[in-house]
Amino acid sequence: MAFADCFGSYLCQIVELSMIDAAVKLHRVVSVCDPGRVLDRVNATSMIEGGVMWGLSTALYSAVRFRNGHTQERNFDGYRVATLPDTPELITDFLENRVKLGGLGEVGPVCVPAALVNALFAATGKRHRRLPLAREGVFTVYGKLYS
Amino acid sequence: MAKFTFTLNGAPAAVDVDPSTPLLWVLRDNLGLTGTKFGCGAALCGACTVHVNGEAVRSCAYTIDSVQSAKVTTIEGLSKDGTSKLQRAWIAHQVPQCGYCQPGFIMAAAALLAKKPKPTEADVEGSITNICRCGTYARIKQAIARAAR
Repeated sequence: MAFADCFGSYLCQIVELSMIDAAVKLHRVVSVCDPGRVLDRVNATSMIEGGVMWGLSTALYSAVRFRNGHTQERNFDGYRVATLPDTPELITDFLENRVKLGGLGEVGPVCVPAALVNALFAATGKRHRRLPLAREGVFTVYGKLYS
Repeated sequence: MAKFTFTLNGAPAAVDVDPSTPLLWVLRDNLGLTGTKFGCGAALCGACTVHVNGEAVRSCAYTIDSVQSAKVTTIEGLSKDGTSKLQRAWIAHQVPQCGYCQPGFIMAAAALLAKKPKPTEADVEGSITNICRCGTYARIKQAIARAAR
């Protein structure tokens, strides 16, 4: 689990996972966000769901490296992102307590990496301090197939 | 330049292009069907997915010389008015966000359902390998499940 006060909204996320042959199987990501007021529930839910996938991408795979002022990653072969096979069940809900309206576009990914490594610690007893996890030798069940 | 003829969305099509031209650019630039999108240009993301003889192919890396006399289906040919079962399921689950990659996902899903009308979760995970940067995957899975019902 992880919590943040970001972009004017509160966000709490829980990642549920298990280890299968030393690979991560993601089961569920629960997100609860308080942006003050939800104007369009379907849109708001989609924003958070998409954000969770950005958070998972950052935590698991994606990194941009620079050399001589150029990015080394030129396309999706070097810059991997989380895709459909890595998508867990996504549960998203909202609270409407904050006084001012907060953001929803950028909020979704924020707690995912922290919640994920906290869940990994709960499952394995090992703390991970560097991302992306694939560079640290931690793969999802799907990621391991294609590592 | 060389002449190529094939069936496009059920109608005859003919173009005179360099044989190494990717099918994607023939569809978009020569034939004006812009529903098929350019994404990575290297068959990694699937935004350009179309059907050639019923198989989902990534048209950015599929040259026109492989299409001679073939049957090509694009997102425009999936149904006359966008009301195929799959497209209705897509709307019911409000899948798209920016929408750019969605024609590719729908074509990949249509090819899967044509082969396996009742796909398992493993079938879906194994065959839908497109990339969506808005992260609409959870809804894509739901929409495919709905269309398969």
